Amino acid sequence: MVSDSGTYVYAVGRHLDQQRLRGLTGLGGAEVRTIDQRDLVAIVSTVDLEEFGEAGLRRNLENLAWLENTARCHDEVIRRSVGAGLSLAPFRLATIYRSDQSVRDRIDDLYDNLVEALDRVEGRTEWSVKAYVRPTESATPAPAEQSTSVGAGVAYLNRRRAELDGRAKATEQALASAEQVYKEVASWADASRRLPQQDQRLSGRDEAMALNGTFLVDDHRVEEFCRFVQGLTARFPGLQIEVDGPWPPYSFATLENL
Amino acid sequence: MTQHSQSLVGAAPSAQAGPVALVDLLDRLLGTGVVLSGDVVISLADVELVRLQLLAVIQSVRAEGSEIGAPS
Repeated sequence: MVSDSGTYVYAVGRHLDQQRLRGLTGLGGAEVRTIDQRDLVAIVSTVDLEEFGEAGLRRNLENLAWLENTARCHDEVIRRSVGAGLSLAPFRLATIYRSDQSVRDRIDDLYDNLVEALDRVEGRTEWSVKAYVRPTESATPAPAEQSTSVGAGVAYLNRRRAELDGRAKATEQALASAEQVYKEVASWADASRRLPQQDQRLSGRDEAMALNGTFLVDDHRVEEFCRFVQGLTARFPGLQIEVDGPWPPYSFATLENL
Repeated sequence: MTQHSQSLVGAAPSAQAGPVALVDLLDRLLGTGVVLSGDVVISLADVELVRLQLLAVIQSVRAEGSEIGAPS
């Protein structure tokens, strides 16, 4: 069987300066192109279904190198496209249609929802705010027991228990602080969302994660936003707070009421 | 790869020194974004499955003692 091809959708945008997408390379080295439908534009490229069909994807998703390449390429196309338009709704990784016509049909079907999503993210970017539990080795040192009447083993166990209690309490406090941080940042942002806590094996961090929040911020308030988040560090000493961005509005271009 | 930070919002401060961490990218590309169903060949609806697979892959890579490009 001759290998079949499909249409991979990176994003749908509005008011795109399509000239600025010229020469952009997508997955598998294919040229990035656009499909106009009403006043919306889908940013797509053609992919081989041997690689991106159902069987191919199931196989390839288990290959970390493939996944990383695909994710980075998808992200790159979207970041370059953000620069070329006022508003962009990024699609989830690996959304593939059988033909350009199917893409047009779906845009027609979901036109109102797409416009709603585009309205929500226009003039805004996504910012990540993460908090980690700061290690507290010396936070609550167990009182040194000089008593010689207690055996050394018992003393050790008592000390160890106090240490573990202290650490559990510190973690509990850090989680409560992280909750407060999320609420305060959320009240400041245009929209907010919690992403799943990252596994330490994936993040490569020694500290446990207490918050993986992401926020939609108006372009005009970005500097103010970053200052606000950095200011939280002084108020929550048990947390290491990190702000990172801008991200294309991946987490806020979701379609409602479907 | 780093210029995009500037092009997105002018002179905004950016905390991104290098390429974004893969784990942050996958949080967003697998867990969020527009999801259209219908005539899609395949879409990653089953995110948990993917995350599990990913963890399995990383564990096996780690077990072999190789680097996986974790964020520094």
